[in-house]
Amino acid sequence: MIQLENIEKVYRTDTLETVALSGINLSIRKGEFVSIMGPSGSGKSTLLNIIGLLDVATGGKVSLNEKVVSSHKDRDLANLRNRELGFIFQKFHLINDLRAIDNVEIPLLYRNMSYKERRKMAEEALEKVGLISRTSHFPSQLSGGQQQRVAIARAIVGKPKILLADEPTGNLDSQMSDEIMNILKELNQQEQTTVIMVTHDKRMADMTDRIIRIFDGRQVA
Amino acid sequence: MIRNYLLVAVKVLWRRKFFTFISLFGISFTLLVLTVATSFLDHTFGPHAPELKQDRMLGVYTVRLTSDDGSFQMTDKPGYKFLNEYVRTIPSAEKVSIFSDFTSTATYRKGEEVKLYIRRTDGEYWEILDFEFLEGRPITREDEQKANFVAVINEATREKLFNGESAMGKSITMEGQNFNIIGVVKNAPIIRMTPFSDVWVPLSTFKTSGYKETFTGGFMAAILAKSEQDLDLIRSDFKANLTKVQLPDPKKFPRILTGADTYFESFARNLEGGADDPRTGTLISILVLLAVMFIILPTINLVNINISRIMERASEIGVRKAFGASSLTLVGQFIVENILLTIIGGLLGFILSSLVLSYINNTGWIPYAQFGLNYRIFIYAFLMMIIFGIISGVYPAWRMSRLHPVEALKGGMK
Amino acid sequence: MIRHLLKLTWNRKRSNFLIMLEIFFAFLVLYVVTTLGVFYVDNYNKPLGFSYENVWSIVMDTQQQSIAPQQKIEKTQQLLLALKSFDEVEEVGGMFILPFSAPDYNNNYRINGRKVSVHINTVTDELKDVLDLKITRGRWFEKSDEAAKANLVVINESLSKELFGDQDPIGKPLFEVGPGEKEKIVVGVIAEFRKNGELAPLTNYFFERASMYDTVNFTLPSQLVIKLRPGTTAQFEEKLVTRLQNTVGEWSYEVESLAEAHRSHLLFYLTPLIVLGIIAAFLILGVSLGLIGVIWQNVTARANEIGLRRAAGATLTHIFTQILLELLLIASLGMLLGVLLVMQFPLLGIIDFISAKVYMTALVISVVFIYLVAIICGLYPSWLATKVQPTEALHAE
Repeated sequence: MIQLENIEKVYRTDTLETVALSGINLSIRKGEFVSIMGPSGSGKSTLLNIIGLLDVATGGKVSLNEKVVSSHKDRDLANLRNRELGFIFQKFHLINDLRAIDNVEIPLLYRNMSYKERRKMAEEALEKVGLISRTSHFPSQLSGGQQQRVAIARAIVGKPKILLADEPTGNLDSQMSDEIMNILKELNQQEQTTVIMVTHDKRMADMTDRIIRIFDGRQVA
Repeated sequence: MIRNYLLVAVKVLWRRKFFTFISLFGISFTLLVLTVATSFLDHTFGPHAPELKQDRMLGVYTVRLTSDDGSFQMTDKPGYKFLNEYVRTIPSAEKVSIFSDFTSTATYRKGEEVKLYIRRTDGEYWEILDFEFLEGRPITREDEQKANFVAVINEATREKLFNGESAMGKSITMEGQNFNIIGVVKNAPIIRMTPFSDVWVPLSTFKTSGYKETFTGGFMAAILAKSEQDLDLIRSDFKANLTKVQLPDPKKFPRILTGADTYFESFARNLEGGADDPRTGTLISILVLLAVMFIILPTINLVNINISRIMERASEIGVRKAFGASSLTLVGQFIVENILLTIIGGLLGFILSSLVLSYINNTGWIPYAQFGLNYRIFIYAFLMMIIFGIISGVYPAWRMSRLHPVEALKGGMK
Repeated sequence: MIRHLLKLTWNRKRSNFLIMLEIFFAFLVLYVVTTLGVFYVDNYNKPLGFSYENVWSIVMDTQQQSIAPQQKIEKTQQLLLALKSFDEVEEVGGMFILPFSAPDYNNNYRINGRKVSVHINTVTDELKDVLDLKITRGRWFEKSDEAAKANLVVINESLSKELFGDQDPIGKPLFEVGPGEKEKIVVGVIAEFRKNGELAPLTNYFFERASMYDTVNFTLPSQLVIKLRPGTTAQFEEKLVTRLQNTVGEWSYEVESLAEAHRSHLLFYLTPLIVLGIIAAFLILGVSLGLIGVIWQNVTARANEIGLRRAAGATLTHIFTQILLELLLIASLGMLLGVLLVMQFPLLGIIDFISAKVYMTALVISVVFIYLVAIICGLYPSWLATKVQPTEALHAE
């Protein structure tokens, strides 16, 4: 489903050349739950951003659904992110001035959809994460775990085939972390959603099908 | 401490040039308009030559005759007869002058028409007003009594008629009458109702003596008090005189409304349209309201920019707070910045004002107006500037002091 | 999308409030200036109704001398003869109130239960030729009208429409007069006569006939207007005034060309607009610069949100439009308040000489202009928003 061939990411300034990633070859199948591990600064987030089509690799090929997408234009990339991918972040990145349901419907804004349809899908997504009773709350009125569940609802509202999670439990205590992991596992098993998660928590990584280790921009396992 | 504040302020302002520019633009432009307006008011109402004794001068500028219920009204300049009988006789006045309103006339120089304003005066006019004489002498009481055909002209007229050469011994012909020029004075602007004119000649040179019989129309009086304290006495003496007044048409207009006013009060009286006493309060309120209406937009703009300037540095503020800086220190820094901006903007505004004023003077938009900047205008403008600075700084400073360190670190603000 | 942004803007009302307030006041300032401008343009496009080229006015000042009507008429006749003896003078007329002069004579009549404001002038038979007035119906005054029993009047089309609607006004009484007063009978209609020039609003106007001979009703005008042969120069004025002085020496005369009076009259009307316009232009320039700064800072502070939206599939166009639309929404809310406020003026008829059409035109122009200003101010910050790198904005620090 996702194919990375010889991915390289180099940051260039006038005087300095920093290699963030080099020689990454990766193949992730449909329905897999994969974690990416590595110390801070190892390039694991950069890798996730490249998989998530948020960042462009300086070398190599990225394919999604057997199509090479690394040379796509912004409009097409945005469309792919919108329909195929869902993002979850460590810091949730909810918009503080919007109620839970309005936060959840954001990806649907970029499809041509009526208000009613959007509401219906957003409610379904909130139901899946068990927050149907909190639709009209503002993020500041929710706990950290609840906020992350809203963020997950936002990621899955458009029914994407791939979920990308960047340290989704990094800001949460262990009980809340387990809750989040359970939701991710459920989504993975029941809906066949592919999940790729960056983490440096061994306990979380162990709960996934496969662990990819990154060290100094290289794949070590 | 202050030095440190200032250094930081300069650095911050320099770093954010765009915000600094917008703030300076707003402050200096607002001050520019306020200063020009203040200069205009000062020029209209302030003590300038030839009205140097303005603090003990009153004038009778209008009379209003009304029916009992006030439904019929006639407002006009007073007439000579009225002024001669009821103003000239005010016992507490040191001097009273009666003079005509200025009217438009023309003289001809080599077939070219030269438009002029003419005013007919008595001798006292020249004793009450302190005209600056470039040459020659004023019209005297004797000139008036003997109906001498003499004229005083202003500098601009000397320029137009004699190319600026001495006008002494020369003559000027208007409306078929020939006058010997006996003096040349500096120009007085048209917005000063008492001194303005191009040519002054004695009252007694009117073609007929019909003017002596008029109750309303065409004349004004200036009253000089012995001291400032006597002004109220003069007002009440005039009121007493008015109780004996013989009205020209008591059936139609049984009531008369007039008074001895300062120049400022005369504007208020016109505005009130029929009040017995001029209420300067209304006029002042209108002026203040206009100023506020005008200031409000640039103030909101500046408040917005100030908030943006603070929010831009929200994370910096967060770090400082996290390291223990008190809200007070931060607000202090911000206020120093604001004061610095206001002062620079104020100076710029002042320079711009003097340019604009000299431009207005040069265009001759208002005849003989010489708008200038003096210490009175400076003080008013400075006061307004401070108020402006405070208003636009207080609210953002308050918002800033309430900025939560954690939220500030996130760079967010709701 | 709009609905979503509306919620976002509304929920941020506290921080958007000051921008809204600023737009509200900017709108008010702009509206005042535009109303005045539109009012002038609207008036300017209507016909003036007379010609002032080569026409001079002479104001005769009798020096407040009490004088018997008979004598005054005789002296005026002498002056008329003196004027007509000039080759340069084509026609001489008289009127009570000169075009472009400050005095006015108007009256509010109750006609058929309505209050009608009417401006009145009293003029001589020759005025039609001096000012080149256009008769649209009926006729102008004639010498034979001297013997008429009624007061004959010529009205303008505005007054005809006001009083008679589509009916023919000729021969009808203007309105009922009190007992003992002479009836006013309409003999003709002129297209227009706008004493205060082309920038002043249209008024209901009628002329009464003045007589240079009638000592009983004594309607002798003290202002003369003379039509000069084309090509007469300003030098003629001295010759003219000298002859008048030599004819009746105890009066004084003020001569002015109507073209000159017209010019200074225009200036008198335009000066407030120019001063207001300059101040408003600078105010709005200041506001625009401020808006750019505020929205710019806003975009920087919302990098997170922009990154998130990009991740959720927003294209660069989506982001650009969002920032611009938000500003337009805030501007709309600010203006909504302003529009509600200024709508009160025509509804309450506070300044009734400005028509609803002028109000509405000015309203539309102001709204469009504020939107334009908002768009121009929003372009740069919106473009900046598209430069936000989602990877950086979403980075976990």
